[in-house]
Amino acid sequence: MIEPGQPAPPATLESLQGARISLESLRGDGKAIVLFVEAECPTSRLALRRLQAVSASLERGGVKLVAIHQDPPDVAAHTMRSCEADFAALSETEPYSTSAAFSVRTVPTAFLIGADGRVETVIEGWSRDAFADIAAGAAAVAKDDVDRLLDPAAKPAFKPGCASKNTLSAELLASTRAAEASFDEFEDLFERGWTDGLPVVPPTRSRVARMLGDYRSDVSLGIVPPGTGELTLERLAVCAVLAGCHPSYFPVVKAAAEAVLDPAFNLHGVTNTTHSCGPVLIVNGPVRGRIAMNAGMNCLGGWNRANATIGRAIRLLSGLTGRGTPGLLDRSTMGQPGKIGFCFAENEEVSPWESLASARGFAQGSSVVTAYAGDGPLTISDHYSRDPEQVVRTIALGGSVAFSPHFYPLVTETVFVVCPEHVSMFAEAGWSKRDVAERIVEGSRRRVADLRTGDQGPFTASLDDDAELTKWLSADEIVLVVAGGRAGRFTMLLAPWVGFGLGSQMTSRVIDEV
Amino acid sequence: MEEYISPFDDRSLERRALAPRLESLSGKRVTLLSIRKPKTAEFLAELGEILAQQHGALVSYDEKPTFTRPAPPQVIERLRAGADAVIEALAD
Repeated sequence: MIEPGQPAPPATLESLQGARISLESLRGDGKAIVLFVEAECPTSRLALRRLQAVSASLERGGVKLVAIHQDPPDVAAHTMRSCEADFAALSETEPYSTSAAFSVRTVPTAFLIGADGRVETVIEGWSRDAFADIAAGAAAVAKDDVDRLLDPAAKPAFKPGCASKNTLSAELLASTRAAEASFDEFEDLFERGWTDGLPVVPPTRSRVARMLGDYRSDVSLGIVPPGTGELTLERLAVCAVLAGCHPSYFPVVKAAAEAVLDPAFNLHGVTNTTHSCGPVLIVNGPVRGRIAMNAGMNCLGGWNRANATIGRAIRLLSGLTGRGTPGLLDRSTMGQPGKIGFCFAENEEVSPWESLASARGFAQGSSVVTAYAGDGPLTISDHYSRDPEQVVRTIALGGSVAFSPHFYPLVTETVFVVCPEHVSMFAEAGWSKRDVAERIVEGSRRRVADLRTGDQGPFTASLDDDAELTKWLSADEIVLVVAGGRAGRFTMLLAPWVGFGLGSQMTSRVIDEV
Repeated sequence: MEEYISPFDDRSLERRALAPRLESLSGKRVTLLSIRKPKTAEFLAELGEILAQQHGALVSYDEKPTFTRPAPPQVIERLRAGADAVIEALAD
């Protein structure tokens, strides 16, 4: 083995990002601790984990810490991450000539190389005190600091290592290759926690660049609550890649991100709340056709890439960049399947009415995305009624359970996704959106006595039994969107989060034409 | 392997030190912050009484405008200036 006093052998190896880097260039004019490690060796992992704590102090003291992994770069990167180590790391593969040049017998082995390029100290295996001596001596780290960073009481203080790969027979090496081959990039992304529980697409630099297209990566869209991560277009593109978006969806994802970051939408509260709501995205305009969104059969039920992945990208944005992960900053009691992602297009082609975007004041022909904090859908079936007055009463009855059956009035916008068969009955009767909305409000009228279930909120408690309330204060609060397949009489309630101006307001943004 | 780009903003992970723990609540100003959920008043009154009678705390009450949004800076500043300890107390 290379002994103290001997010159360190020169070495050029692959970085974990794929660049060729020499050990000498990493060391520069200073000292370096070169630590040979291997993924399957528990002592190597112990050394990586514990030296991470002291790496910044070593660096400040002019000692560069460099791990040389006897593994391919992807395995080495995984080892570093799983040990929560982020100091410099290089990868060495067969025939392990650098390890052989250093005559490494076991991993971990650490060589302290002086500014003159000579080896000063060699540590085989893990020895807390030996590393503490290096930190205190070579890097002039104060003893208090060393004791704080490398706890003298932490067990084990000593641990022998494993056989170094350059010493293994061909047969034993073959068995380590099987372990290397078991690395799975999708499992790796689960381990990183970059997922909502479903597989995600690895956000490689080239995929993210394709997602961005002509957009500049460093443009900021603001801060994503609740965890206050800054949303650059690059991070948004990462979320879109992870979610499985095609690059042609990115303008929609960008406009949707802008909509949910509008303070009126209150993404902080939508994410934090114990309620089950999540961002619901409704798309209007020509972009629907360009990216083949589904506004027809099963439009709320997945199996369309654009619908499924645009909604998911926005949820990953609040969950990852905004750190709104369930159990931490997402405090939802139940959640609901729409919180994985909820995006659909309005079926403007079958609708007799102005689109949601037009109703919200956007120019005909522009593509617009609208964000709404909505609960999971509730189906309101009415296949029997042949009179539109009857259908609208059924819809009102269904809608009156929004938030809670006894919670009157809501005092907030409520979305109904009206199916083509129901809307055609309204069209035949010559009813505008407003006509239907007014009938829904009226159809929700109840005697206060009928709303007295359990302990009362402040609204019904102060009223007489015979007083009457409607679920909504006016037709302005009824938001009708037409979507769904042509057959079947099912209108959907997307109930809102809390009202009275406390919760969330719908927000819309124009989608860039690219 | 091609490098991955992270969806996280590492700056948002910066850890802040906790305030030093109070040795005792006796004689200390403890503010109970209502987030304005239903029935908060009853809950906080009960809690305040326990803190005052059993632990000798000087209890005061404050509130933020709504449970659905973060407390505005002026509320945080008021709490910082006027209390040795704050309990953000939920209800429901």
